[in-house]
Amino acid sequence: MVQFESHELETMRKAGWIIGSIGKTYISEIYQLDRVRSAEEFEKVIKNISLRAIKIGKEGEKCKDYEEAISKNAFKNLIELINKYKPNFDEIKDIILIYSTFYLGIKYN
Amino acid sequence: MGEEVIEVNKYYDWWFDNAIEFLGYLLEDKLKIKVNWEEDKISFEKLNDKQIKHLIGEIERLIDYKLKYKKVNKKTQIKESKLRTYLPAIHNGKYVGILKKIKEKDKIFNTKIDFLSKNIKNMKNSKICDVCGNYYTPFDKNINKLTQIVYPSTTTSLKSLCGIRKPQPENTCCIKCAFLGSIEWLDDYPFISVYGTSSNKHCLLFPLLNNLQELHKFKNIMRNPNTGIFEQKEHSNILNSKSTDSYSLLLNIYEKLYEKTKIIRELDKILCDDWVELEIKNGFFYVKNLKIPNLERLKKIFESMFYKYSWFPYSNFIKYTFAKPLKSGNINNDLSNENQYLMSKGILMDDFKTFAKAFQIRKGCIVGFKRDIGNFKDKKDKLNIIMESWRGI
Repeated sequence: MVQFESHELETMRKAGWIIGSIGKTYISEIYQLDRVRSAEEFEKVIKNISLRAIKIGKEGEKCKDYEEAISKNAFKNLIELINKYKPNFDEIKDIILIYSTFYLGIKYN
Repeated sequence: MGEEVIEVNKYYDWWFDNAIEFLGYLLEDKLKIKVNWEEDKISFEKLNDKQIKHLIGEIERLIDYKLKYKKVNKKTQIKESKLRTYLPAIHNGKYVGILKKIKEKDKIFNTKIDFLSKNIKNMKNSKICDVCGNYYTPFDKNINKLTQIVYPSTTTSLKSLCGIRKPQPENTCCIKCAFLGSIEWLDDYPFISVYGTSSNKHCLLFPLLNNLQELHKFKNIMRNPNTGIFEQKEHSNILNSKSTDSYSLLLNIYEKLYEKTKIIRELDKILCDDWVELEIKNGFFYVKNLKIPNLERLKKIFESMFYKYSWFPYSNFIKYTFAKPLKSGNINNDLSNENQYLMSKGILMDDFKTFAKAFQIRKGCIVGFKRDIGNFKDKKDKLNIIMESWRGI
């Protein structure tokens, strides 16, 4: 099991938060994230999600965590992280899924 | 002097080893007899008639205390004593085996439980015990039969269901094994009873330690009233436990042990990481081994949570989760229990994949948190601490 640095965990937390906020409108993105089977596929899904994030931003739906994550280049850092731990992409995926569904669970409904 | 000392050797079996420890505890704690604890046996001076009578009296007292529970009748508002009918110690409302015969004190204490008062040697006209392998003289069909009260994983009715390794229906045992096996039901072990819509489930946990001395030490920590773990209740004997599966129960026990023994500083040297779970479901008994692979990581999670915020993963986080539908609807109780099971199992077994599975969106449901857990920041903090202490360097 990979032990991550605290700034790496912070990156994943922020990315998870923003995916959670997108999941409110586009729940299928979280399902897609759950289904990824390779690092390349994972990157592809993350890129799609970032496009969704831009769209939501343009529509004017604002969220504090979302803005914070965008400002610190959460997705860019996340892609770097996936490339760094390519053989263990599954673990990064699990952590992001936990954060995103957790956010979805406590913020909405 | 050598003949006067009674030795009870270890069986190398989870059930009987716990029973030997319980016998030693009864002799030492209740009868004030000096018991010599060794790695593979206990020894004590032979008991006289008065002492055996005292021991039988103590067991008799425990039968009513352990195998029954108090329940308030909703109509009459009177406390009633009810039998724990799921245990094999009771059949048709009556105790079976030794527990039934134990009331016939005069007959039993000299003739039957003789292994407490003299060293048994091989006798003529004797049979071999299928459990311990020693010779014995059969005297009572009901007591000598190897039933579920003596050894819970025994299948009694059909031979074809037993397999090769399980005890067979026609197996018999000596009085020593029958006595030890039967009194183990009166021991202090953590348990929960889950009454669901489809089936009822009962989980009993037994510590598995190779050294009898260490086993006694560990069980004494659990029995210690200062730790405040055990309490006689209807569905569980663990204080404030609402767990619905064995992993949650075990995590809850560890938390309580950690919280209490940190103060008295006894836990650092000995902490049992191997357990046996006895599950009673629809009248069948299932035995499962719970081995905790990485106790150090568990300690790290506890330390980081408890020292900073006085929180614990089960008592302050997992217990307050439930499964709610993404769209409006009622809480899914079965999935809530399953999620709690997955989270507890993940933390205990150091399996992050299992822990993450609880957060997946399944059956259109997502993990929700009760209001008692705190505000939005509290919830975020609790998850962050778990993740940092588990996945961080």
